[in-house]
Amino acid sequence: MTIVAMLGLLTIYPLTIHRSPKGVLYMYTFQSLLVASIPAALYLQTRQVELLILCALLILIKSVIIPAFIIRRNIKYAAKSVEPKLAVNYAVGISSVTAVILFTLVLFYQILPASFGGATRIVAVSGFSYAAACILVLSFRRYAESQILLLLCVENGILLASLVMIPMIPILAEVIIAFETLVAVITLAWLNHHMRYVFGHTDTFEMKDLRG
Amino acid sequence: MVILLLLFAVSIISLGVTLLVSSPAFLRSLTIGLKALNLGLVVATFSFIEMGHSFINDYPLAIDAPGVIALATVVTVDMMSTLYVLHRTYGDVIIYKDKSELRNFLVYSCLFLITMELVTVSNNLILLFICVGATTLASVPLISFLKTKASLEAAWKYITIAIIGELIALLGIIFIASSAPKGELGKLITVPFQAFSNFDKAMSSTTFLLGVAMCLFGFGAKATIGPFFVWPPDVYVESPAPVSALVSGAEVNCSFIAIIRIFEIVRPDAHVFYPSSIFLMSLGIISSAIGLARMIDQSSFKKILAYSSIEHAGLIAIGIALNQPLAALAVYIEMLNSSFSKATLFLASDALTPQEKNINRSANVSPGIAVVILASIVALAGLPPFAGFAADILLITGAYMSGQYLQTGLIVSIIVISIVVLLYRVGKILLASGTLEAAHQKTSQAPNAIMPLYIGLLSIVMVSIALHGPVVSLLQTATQVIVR
Repeated sequence: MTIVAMLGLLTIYPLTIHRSPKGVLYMYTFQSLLVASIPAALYLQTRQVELLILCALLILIKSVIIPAFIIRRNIKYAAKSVEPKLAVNYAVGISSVTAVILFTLVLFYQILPASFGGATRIVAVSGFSYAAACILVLSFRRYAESQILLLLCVENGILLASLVMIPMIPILAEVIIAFETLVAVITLAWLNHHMRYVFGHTDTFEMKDLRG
Repeated sequence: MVILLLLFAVSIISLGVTLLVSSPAFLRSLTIGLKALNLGLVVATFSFIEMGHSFINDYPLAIDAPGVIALATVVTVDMMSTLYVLHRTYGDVIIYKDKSELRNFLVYSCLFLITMELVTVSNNLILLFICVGATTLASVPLISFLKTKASLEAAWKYITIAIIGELIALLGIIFIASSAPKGELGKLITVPFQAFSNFDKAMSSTTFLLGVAMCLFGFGAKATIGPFFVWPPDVYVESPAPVSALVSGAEVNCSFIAIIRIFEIVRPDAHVFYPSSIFLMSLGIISSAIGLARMIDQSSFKKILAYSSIEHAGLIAIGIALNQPLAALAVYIEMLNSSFSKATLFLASDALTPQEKNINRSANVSPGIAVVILASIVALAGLPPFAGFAADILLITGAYMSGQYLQTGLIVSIIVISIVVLLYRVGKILLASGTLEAAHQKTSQAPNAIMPLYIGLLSIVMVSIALHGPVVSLLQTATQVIVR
């Protein structure tokens, strides 16, 4: 579990530097598979069938339905496949993401009670750190498609932490949250479709008409 | 429980009717009938709770005094905006002319209503989180209904901020759930709010406090408090008037119910309660100050209302954080008063803006629309004889009696400046040549469209009258939820 969490944490760097929404989509799918592997690992320890059901559900929704049937369609119709320029250059992006990861790792490691075992604590802290870094990367991305994927990445980080911190969460609650994520993605994709139709692009940095 | 099921059954039937009935006249009559029935059921629930009946139980859905107050605002504002959509034949968009557009609008608003009703009756943390998230998703098609560049941009800004806020709240819920004793991890997210006191002794305070702060910050994004004040002006200005009314008058109250629930679970634990109050107080002061500062230089009617709404949200947050019975009473009165007055004014704003070229300047101003707008502005500003005035006085007295003199000074300054700015700015717009004449001309083309404005005014007046007796005990019961 610790290796999976660390591997997940490393996927933040390709997300930071990759300029194509398609690349972000691949990283998201890979990362969702990593998250889905956590309930499977927990199943091997506890032998609770609900965890296997949860694993299957996560793979189905996060690694198949959302990337293949919803986001890929949106990206396919995007006018340009590569974002022209990120909000910050690579050096600033990588160093700021590293700073956030290190800061949140230390912060959450101190905050979480020691009653959580070693592996649980590391995985949970990685999840929180990952979510915080994704919020930062979200502000670097220009295209709406990439922003949707990064919101989903934040959710992946939180899910990773919740899976190990509160393993006794009722399966019904997990199913409803997964379903709500699916509805949220459909709503975002629908909005994204209309934005492309009306604006001719989905570059959110170009949308500056409203200033509060 | 039966009354709650009936309430949801009526809302679901409303949705079914909107989807299935094809005759516009029949659809209109049935929708109005069902909305009236919905309101009747809420009034019945209100009366039952007022008479001392308890609807609190171990089910995931239950209703108590704060819930029924929010439910009353949700159902009334929904009825006002639905009636308005059904009768409106003027404004920046003519939904009524296109049958399929009208149907789409009604379907979205029914879904929005169901999700908001669910928030008010949610009885555990995870259900509350899911329902608050559902309100965001249900409101997006309504906010972007006009499909203009500005409305789509506003909807995108709104959904991004709301989702980030909800993810932070989810993180907070995980922290709260993980603060339980080792053998009961995860249980906290499914126990009824009232049962939290059974856990408080064994909980880890640091994790719990962090979780609570994250929940307040996250749900605050939708309640327009804290640093998330950027979405309301755009959303309220760019969406159709009935949607602005629904979001500002009903959805914001649902988010406040989420914040009140968080305070309900925090109440038994003194180590967490006081720091949480200070945190919420800071968020409230930030919102009020920013709302007020931005309201000063606005010239658009809807934007003034939007910033006033942020400022009022800040005051409500301060009231919750003060931990004083009078201030808590002010919170609920303010929720009712500002909800009805904002909804009425947003609906009226459709007739006021934008200016049309062919206005007959010599036309007489209808006393109807002028009285409605004037009374609603006075109510929103918090002047007598309306309930907003009582709320302001109670808030100031509550802050003073709790010995927080700096906060008392701040609240007095915010309230006084807000009254002056609101009346000056809105007065300038309303007294501008032709504004009220245009409003009269538009509403006289569709006389029934003014009916929801009268309902709004009636609600404002009823809240003010009810304060002298009928609802006092219900409000006092509601204060017990947030006062330690």
